[in-house]
Amino acid sequence: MKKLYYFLFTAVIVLLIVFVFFQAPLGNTFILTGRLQRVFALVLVSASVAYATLVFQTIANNKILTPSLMGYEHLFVLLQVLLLILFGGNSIFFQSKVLSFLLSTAVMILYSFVLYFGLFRKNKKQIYYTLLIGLVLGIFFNTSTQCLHMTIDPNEFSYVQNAMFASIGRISLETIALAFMLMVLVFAYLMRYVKMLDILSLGRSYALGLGVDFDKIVKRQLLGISILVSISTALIGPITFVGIFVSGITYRISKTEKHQVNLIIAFAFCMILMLSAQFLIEHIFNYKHTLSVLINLLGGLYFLILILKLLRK
Amino acid sequence: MIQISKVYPNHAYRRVLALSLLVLCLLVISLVSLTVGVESITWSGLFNRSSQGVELLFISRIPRTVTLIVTGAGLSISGVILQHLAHNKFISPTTSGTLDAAKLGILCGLLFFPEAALLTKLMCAVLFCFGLTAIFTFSISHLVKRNTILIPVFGVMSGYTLNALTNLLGVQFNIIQNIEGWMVGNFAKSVKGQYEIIYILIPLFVICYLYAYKFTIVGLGRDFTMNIGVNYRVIVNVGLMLTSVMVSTTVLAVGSIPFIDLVIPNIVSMIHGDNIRRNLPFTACYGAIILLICDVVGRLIIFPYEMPSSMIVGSLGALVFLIMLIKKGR
Repeated sequence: MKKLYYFLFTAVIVLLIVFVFFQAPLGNTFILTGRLQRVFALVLVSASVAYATLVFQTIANNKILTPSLMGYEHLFVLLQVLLLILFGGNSIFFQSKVLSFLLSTAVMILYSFVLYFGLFRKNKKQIYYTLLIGLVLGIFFNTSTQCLHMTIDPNEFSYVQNAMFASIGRISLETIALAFMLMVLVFAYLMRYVKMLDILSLGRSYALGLGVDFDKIVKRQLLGISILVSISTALIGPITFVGIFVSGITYRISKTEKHQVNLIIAFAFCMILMLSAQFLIEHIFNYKHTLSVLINLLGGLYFLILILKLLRK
Repeated sequence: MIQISKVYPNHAYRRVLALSLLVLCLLVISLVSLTVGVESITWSGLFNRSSQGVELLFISRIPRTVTLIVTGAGLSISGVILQHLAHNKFISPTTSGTLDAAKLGILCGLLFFPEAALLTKLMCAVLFCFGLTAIFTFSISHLVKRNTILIPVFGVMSGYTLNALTNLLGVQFNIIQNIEGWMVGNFAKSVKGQYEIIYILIPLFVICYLYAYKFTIVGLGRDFTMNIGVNYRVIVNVGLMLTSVMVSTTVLAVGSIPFIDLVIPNIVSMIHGDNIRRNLPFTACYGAIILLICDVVGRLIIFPYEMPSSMIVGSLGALVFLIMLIKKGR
């Protein structure tokens, strides 16, 4: 296990160094700060993806699901379009990145509240059900956004088109700092229960038998997860499938069910994945594809392979 | 779940009455659809044989209306068949990734046979639809049989994946710019010379009607089907093939139209029960009427421009589906 830690740790460090310093003149602060910003964003997103997916899978008792399926990215874009229609392209929401980040995170967290607490009142194994509702809501947001797009004046639309889709290329330092503070708070709140997670994976009745208040902890974890997913969506856009891939590989290489181990491995692996994908995009694909497309494709293919494997059993 | 006797058994005349009312509705809305548009058509103008109006009618309005009716009916029917084959009310081409598989198929058709005719692309799309739907919905449904909610979740997820794949391939080979805008269901392009492929659906309707009893039987379960001497596997494959061809044809002709195939069969089954053969005309009529209404609304809402009807159908359909889901959860 220690060897694995060392290996992952060195891999992350090496990748970090390569990512930051590759083909960059040392004196050029512009390039370096830009890259450092992106690295920080990727660190934050990786941490949230790793935690959110692993714990969500434990709660759902299913290793091919992920919380980011529940329509967050579509809600994000819908929100931007609504802001554009209501306040116009010159409004403060499109000028200040911090404000738009805060607003969209707040709306997404509110959405998660409604989704979970509107539906979880009866507490009866409704997580799949919530997931399906989230998925359908996502499609609903998506088509409504398309409808609204048609009604927008094309000039105004092209003016804000860039600001509408979250992407790693346009992150500002303030946004990262804000996201960082939010995430520290959330993690501080969630980490109190990290030892209970292993018990949660035993199932509700065992957990109750061992004296763990299953429902309470699940609720709190889901809340935290939704905040994490909202933040990462607001930071770099849709990363639907990456969680499945990361958790699948993590369970494969760690060969243990302990969350404290798995969370670290998943975080490191997610970092490696994101950094190398972003590196490929910047230096090989020349920005032709976006990070989310590349990573989602990888995760999606993994998902399909998983299902095919399940079939063969 | 399956309720055959819900239809009044001895009141055939009632069904005939209801059906004729529906057909009347359909006719009225079709007439409305013929007259709505940027260039106004007046009936007096037609009777005076003003050539412009007649031309407009035959080049654009009639093809569009026919396409709308046939597409609405075809998608609803494929939805109801898929629902019965999967023993799951939440499965339809929208929620099993079939629409996305068709898109991927068409893209591959464009990629490998760029010069080929429409029919080759159709073949590609059908192939992808059939294969991918068969694998990712039907095989999965055997795995997680008892969990009706999880199967559509997997279906939508595989659809997302296929979409990402299509997007990447399209961008890489400079075929499409943006998957969101590509293949959005839009009836503005169904004009004379473009829409004729949709007629493929009409003979398929007849085949569906002939097989309808068998689909109902398959909907009652595998063991039951085998017991009364119906070949389960063959019927499932026939059904899958039929839905694949129908869905691929509509995607190729007008683009993807989500949710109508999910919502209409559920509404019909709430009102009329689950006997496919009896309900097939109802399903077709409801589908056609809803799609026509949505398209007319789409033509009027930002007049003189128009909004693709798939967007209206998609938003409304998703909303109705959500209400159904929440009702079921309560």
